[in-house]
Amino acid sequence: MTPLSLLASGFLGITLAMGNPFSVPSTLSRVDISQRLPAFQLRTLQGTPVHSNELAGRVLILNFWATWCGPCKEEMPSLERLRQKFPPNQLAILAVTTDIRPQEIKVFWQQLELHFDVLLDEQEELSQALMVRNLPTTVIVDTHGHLSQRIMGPREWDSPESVAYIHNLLSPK
Amino acid sequence: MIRPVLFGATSVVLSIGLGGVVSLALGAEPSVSMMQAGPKHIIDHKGMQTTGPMAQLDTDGTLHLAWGGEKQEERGVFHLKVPPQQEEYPEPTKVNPSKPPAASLHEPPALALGHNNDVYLTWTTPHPNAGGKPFANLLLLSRSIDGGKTFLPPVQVNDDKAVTGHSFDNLTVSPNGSVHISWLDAREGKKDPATYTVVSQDQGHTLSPNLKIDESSCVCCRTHMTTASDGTVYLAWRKVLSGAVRETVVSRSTDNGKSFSPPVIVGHDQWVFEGCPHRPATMGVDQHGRLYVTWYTEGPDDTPGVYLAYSDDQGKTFTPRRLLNMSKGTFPDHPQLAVNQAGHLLVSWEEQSPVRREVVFTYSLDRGQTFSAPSKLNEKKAKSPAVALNDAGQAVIAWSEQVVFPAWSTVVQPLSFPTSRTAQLHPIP
Repeated sequence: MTPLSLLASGFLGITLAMGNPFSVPSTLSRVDISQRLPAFQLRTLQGTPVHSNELAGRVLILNFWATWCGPCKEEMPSLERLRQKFPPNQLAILAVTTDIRPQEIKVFWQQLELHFDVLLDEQEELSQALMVRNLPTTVIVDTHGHLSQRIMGPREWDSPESVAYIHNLLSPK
Repeated sequence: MIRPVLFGATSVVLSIGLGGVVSLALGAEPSVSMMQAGPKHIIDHKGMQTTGPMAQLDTDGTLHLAWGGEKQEERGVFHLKVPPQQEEYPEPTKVNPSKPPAASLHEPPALALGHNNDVYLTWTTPHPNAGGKPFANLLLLSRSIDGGKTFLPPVQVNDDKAVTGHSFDNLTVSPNGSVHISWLDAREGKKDPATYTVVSQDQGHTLSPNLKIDESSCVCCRTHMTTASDGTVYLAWRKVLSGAVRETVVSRSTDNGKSFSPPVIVGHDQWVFEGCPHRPATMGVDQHGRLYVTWYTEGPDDTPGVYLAYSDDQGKTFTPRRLLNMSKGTFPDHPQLAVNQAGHLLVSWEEQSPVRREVVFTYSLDRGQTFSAPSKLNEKKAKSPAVALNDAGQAVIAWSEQVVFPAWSTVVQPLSFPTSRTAQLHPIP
């Protein structure tokens, strides 16, 4: 998918109805669930490059956040608990930020005992490609690399409904 | 380091590419030829990562810019003063001493000009006792009483001991010289912070006790303040109402900041969102006391919009909101407003798509009744515009632009509004 096609489809304003685990209040909009995740290569907090190709075959959760965003930090523990419910070859969680404060983030990560990677989106390219405009915004990508959900605002990521949603992406019925 | 980009002459008629982003006029369009644009200036930050700029103009056209910057272990707040007609920009002055450092690059310092060429800036520093709270900070006020040549040691603004956030600040100087500061404060430990203010009546030397204005403020939308010529002080913030509804609200003080009125909802946007919009409202007042407000919101259908409303009764009521952007395939973001006594309005914002990021502006010569078609300003990827406009009709838009990828430079575009005589010769349709 080209970024432009994402744009074109995005602004059709597809608003998903209730009945999904991330609703109430649901603001799932401007993502075409049939489109592919744009390719990206970013570095982790530790400097390790991560290419989107490496993530294929797994459900991918891209959680966009910032250090100044209280609701973002509040939902982080539930993302960690969600991570623990799946083996790494089934689910990858990446916390993406344009707020480049490595030292503070390292301290925060250690405090909360978070074990998923932080990606530094220094040029804001991934954030822009996915039209992230509010935080937290979470994009869920299925095992085939297609955008599945876009959630604005914090959620309880380890709720039974959320876990079931990930299971369903891994083994669609 | 800082070089002007000359477009052939020292001043050219503004004809910036109207086809760049959006091209629909909002109501009757003022004559674009009445706006003059000077040469752009590009500030190269020499590898320093910076915030977007803040901008102010003195009555004589002296430009003041401020930004936050980080390079290796150095985090600073910088101020740049440019006299009128000066083509070569001088080096910026570092505002903060080496300790305490500036805290973050997510927003620029707030900047205001006072009497006698005083310069005031607010900025945050990491809390010295942060311990296990790496994002806790203190709000500081820096001031220059020699026209920006030097800055006095900063004064702490928040008067509490809580190891938490004190940021999303703004400030304004009222006609009597009082310095009013606002910010979001999490000292009470609630989910949503409160909005606070202080006032200084001695050029920032001492501050009044912190005054809590309202609870349940949107956690990361910057506050904004402005003053009218009669001394009325206005304060805007984004309030969280029942059901996670986010509304831009305005409160006013008619007693020099001792007390503020209950907040009034400006746009009735009904935007439900539980996260961080991270976008402030901005305001300005003309000589007749008309209060103008611009802000970003999405509303029930999640459609981003940049809006304007105004009040002719000191913020007790507002006109219906008016959409300023006419975006097609992009979404508008981060609007900034400047107003002068004549009722000229200058509004700049971003237009974003997955592959483009533009800075555009529009203006009004008739107190917000009609606006020019939004015009694109940047050539490369750009963001974070700031606007300034004085009573002589001199204006500046400054923004961050990737002039040479991947570094972000600050670009400055001087503009001149028509004088009142020119405006009379070219009546608005």
